[in-house]
Amino acid sequence: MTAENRSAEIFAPAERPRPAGRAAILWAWFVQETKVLFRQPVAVFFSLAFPMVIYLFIGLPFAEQQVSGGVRYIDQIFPALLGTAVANLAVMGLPIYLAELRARRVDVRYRTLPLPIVLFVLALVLSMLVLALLGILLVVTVIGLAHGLLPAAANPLFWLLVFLMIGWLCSLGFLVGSLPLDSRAIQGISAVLFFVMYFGSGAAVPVAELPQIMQDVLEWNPLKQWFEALGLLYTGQEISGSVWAKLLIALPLAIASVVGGLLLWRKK
Amino acid sequence: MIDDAFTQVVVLAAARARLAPSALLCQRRAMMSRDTPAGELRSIRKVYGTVTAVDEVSLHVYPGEVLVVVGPNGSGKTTSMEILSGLRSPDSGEARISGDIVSGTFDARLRTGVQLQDSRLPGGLKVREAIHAKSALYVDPGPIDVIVDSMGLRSYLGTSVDKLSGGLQRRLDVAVACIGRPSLLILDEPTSGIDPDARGDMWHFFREVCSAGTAIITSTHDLSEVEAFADRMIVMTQGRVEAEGTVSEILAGAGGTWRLRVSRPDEEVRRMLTDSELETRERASTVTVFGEREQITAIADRLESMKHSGEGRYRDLLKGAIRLEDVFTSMTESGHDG
Repeated sequence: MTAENRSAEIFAPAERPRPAGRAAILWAWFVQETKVLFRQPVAVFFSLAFPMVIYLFIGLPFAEQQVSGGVRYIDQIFPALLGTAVANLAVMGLPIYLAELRARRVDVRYRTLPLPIVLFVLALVLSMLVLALLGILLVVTVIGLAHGLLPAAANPLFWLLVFLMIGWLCSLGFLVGSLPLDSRAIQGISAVLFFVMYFGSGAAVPVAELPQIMQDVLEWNPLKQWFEALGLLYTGQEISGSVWAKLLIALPLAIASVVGGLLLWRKK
Repeated sequence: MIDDAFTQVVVLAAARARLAPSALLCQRRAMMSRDTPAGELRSIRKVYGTVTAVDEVSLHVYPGEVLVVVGPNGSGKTTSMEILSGLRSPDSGEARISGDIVSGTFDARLRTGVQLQDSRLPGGLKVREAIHAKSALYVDPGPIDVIVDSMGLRSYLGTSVDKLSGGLQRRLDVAVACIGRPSLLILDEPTSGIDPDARGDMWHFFREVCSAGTAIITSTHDLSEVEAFADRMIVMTQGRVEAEGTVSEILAGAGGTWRLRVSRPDEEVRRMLTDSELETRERASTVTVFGEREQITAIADRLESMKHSGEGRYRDLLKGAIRLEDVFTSMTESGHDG
């Protein structure tokens, strides 16, 4: 066989090219996105280390102090520590990653591939979920071992709310990451958004001492609403109708964020 | 499949024609499958605001053929290739893959390998992972190891893409484009930023891929690559196809096999050249005359005697066998003027 014939055999184009199965594609791209995510020190720090920093400097010194009705301070901030592991990844990590994909024109490259966009988005979300779950697992383990968890930690509704919060924050992050701005602007916007939402949630510092007008505004801070609801559920208190109503607002807002993000993404 | 006897004939013919055998094989295969283009643009027009990026551009590339698109920056090369890739929609006209598959559709993307000029991979990704991610999209991704070795990436598999030099990143882009046994490769300046040795290796690889039946449409600014490796070429200026054909056909259209380039001629010299009845093309400060060797030599002698006697002035003259660069320059200049 000549070299030419060997080449023809080796490089022969596919007459009827067949795509790999969707599950195989999803798995391969999920593994890829997870590896890339875990190589980003900022994402790993904010998901795994930042909640521990908050715990060490704010939670631990006052952990066993009684707040009300047998509820310790650590019980009160436990849901917020869980949210901390997720919120940064969704509100800062996701938009910055999307903006970087655009800045490097990776999104354009992907549009030339036989890669269904749904599978890519799913792989991206799942990879973020892995990191978020690790962050949550770390918080649960540390708090559980050091202080013990309340019975509500085994309540499925509690974890359902945690996952709904992840979904809502991811949709918000997707909208921010889809804004037609350069990656530096997206970094700035997402950082401002995260820190205002986070410090305005009462998770790190109490907001009760703030001027009334700021407290009124912060009542509409989505992170504060979710932390409040999770805190009430975790400490065995009743969630009032107004708190449920505020959480329900997240549903249309999440849908609007995803639709808006998709429209902006397609426009580009 | 081409049999050994035919291959031997091709090798002999190539030796006589001083061409690489694979080039002739490509031409042979291209001739055999002219019915269905692997990629085609039909009267494409694309306007951005008030700028017409591509104007009534038609092109086709057949299986086993290397079509090279050349043109100055902003001539519409990249827009044309992006339309063929399905990345941009034309305002009018059609882009098709493998006959009647609309470019940009999933089926078209399954058959097309694309290397873009200014697209990078995600930061933190390793070479091995970039290759695996593309391979995972196909049931038969093709000869991955051969592609990796041909692009010289074997020793960089564990390296992060951000730590690769520009040339290696380009090689990785090409390698990734070649995965999946594509019937059409769309390569936008694949050899840009690559050292001469690696360029040679890359073109050798392209010709191997082409000899297997894959169509390649590519762009470059290096006209020596076009002369050496293109089966056909297209010259684009200002969004239009200025010329199309084999390199020989493009050269033949210049009006001779030799050329004389005269820089900064005065009016007397300029008049003498334009009165010579040979094909003459003028740029701002240079006049190029095309003709046969004897005609060009005679004019060069006449110019030198004019300079000695003080009848005419010029800064410099350069005579020699015609090169693609001479034709290209005059075409693109006239395109700009027009």
